[in-house]
Amino acid sequence: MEVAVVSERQPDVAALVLNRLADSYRLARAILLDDTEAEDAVQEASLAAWRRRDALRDPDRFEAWFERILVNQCRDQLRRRKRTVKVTAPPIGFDPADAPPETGTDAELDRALAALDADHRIVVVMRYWQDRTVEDIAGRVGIPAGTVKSRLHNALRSLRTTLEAGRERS
Amino acid sequence: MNDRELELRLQAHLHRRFDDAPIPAGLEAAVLQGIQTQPRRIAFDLRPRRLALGWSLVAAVAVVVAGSFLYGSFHGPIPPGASATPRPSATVSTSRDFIVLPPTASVPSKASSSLATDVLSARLRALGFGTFTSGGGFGISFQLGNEGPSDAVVRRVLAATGDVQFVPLPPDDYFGDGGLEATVGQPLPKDEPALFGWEGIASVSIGAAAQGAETPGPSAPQAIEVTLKPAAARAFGDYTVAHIGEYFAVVVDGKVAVVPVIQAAISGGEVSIVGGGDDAAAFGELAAILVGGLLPEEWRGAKVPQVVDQEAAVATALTFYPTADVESAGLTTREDEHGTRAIWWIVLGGDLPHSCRALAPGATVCPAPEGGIVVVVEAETGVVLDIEPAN
Repeated sequence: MEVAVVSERQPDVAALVLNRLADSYRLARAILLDDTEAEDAVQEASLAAWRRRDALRDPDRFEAWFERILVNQCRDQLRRRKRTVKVTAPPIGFDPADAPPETGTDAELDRALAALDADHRIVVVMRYWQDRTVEDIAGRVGIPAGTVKSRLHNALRSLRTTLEAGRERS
Repeated sequence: MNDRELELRLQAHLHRRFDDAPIPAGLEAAVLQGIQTQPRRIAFDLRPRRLALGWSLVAAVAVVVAGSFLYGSFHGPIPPGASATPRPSATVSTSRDFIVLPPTASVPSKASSSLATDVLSARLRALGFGTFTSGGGFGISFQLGNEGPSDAVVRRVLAATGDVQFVPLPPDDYFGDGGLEATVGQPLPKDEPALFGWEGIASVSIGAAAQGAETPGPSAPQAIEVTLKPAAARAFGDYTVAHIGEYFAVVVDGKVAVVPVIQAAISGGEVSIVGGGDDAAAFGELAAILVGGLLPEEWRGAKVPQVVDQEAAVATALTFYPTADVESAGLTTREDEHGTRAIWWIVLGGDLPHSCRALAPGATVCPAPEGGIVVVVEAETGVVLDIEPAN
């Protein structure tokens, strides 16, 4: 007797994605520093995960597996962003000379973070927001631990330079 | 500031800024819908799979064989367009154009249109179109080769919403003394509760039919293989255990698509609906729709009008301006008092740089420079809708 094909039961990727939606959105927002782009990144990463779900055999590995997809998506978006320029008209009557200085504020640090390129910003967020070890970051991003260390070192140097330059201008 | 101070400041800032960021309303629904409307796996594996009866029992595999392979039209007649103008002479074309229009005049979101394109592309691949081009805008356009299923089949498959319900048919009511019949292509004669729809389906794929598939070919029986999610698998298992030999209906877009008979209890959540043979084309339509999946909400009820080919539309325009040169042409859509129309836009004359302007939501046309004209032709009928001097 012939029977129909029986396929191996796969982990329920949709449920796993939804379970981690909040963490995923916050990670994307921290990397991209933009709410709308973070939403886009999570949606795109979710679809990518769904399409590649055959590659996930062990649900316990989902978090690292999906985070890598999401981080790659964020990196792609940041690189695409470099090729576009957002133009926003200032409010009517706005005079840049009247704008208050923002030194010592979160905005100052945000600007310094935004000045980092994609690869450096990702390791900074994973190290100082997710509180991950260098080895953990290396495994999740797929680069050697030494590269993570050098990127963190370069990122801190770049952040300090940007912050100091901002103070001198003000 | 030394490294440690900077690190502490960075940590504090990042935690303050991102730890409790609220999740946007609608993100979960958008992600879920995106996944649910993704193309399903297509597995054209034509090797017959043989297992001994004992093995099949051990594996708790159950097979549902379609009792009826008939599958009717999902789509009603296309509403008549405007009055016809003289049609151009026939032009041999190496491709066919189709455009899928959203059901309302509102512009679908980019994400929704992207998902709809994925769903429809998967359906076309399942119909056997290996390569084709697609384009976005207010509508979704596809350029297919001349080989393969007819225009009518393609339009039905593209227009189907893809909503599916597995509906048990009470034996006391159907196909017996009850007098009711489930007719393929028609709605059920009365409302019947469904066991599950897409919410209970994990994946759909196409494979060779288990029975009679020793000689694969165009008319070989095919199987639509449906993998159920656990809750639906339990419900279907409970139902089939108690209703062997009875019928149920697979209802697509509110109409009966196929009426299989339950041949065995199906407790494993793996359902195989076998069809094909003399009705392979009709069964292929159903399979393509199910493999592609459900269209996103903004695209449900989409229209797929008959589109005359580009050469014919251009020829129509040239009947008005026989000496003009065609600068460029393309397929787009426009809203007017008659609703959404698929139109060819054609720019005649002129070769100077020119600016573009919006012609329809989501679509842009670049008119000819001063002295040129824009001719807008309704794609469905070839009727010239508008002749505008370029600004």
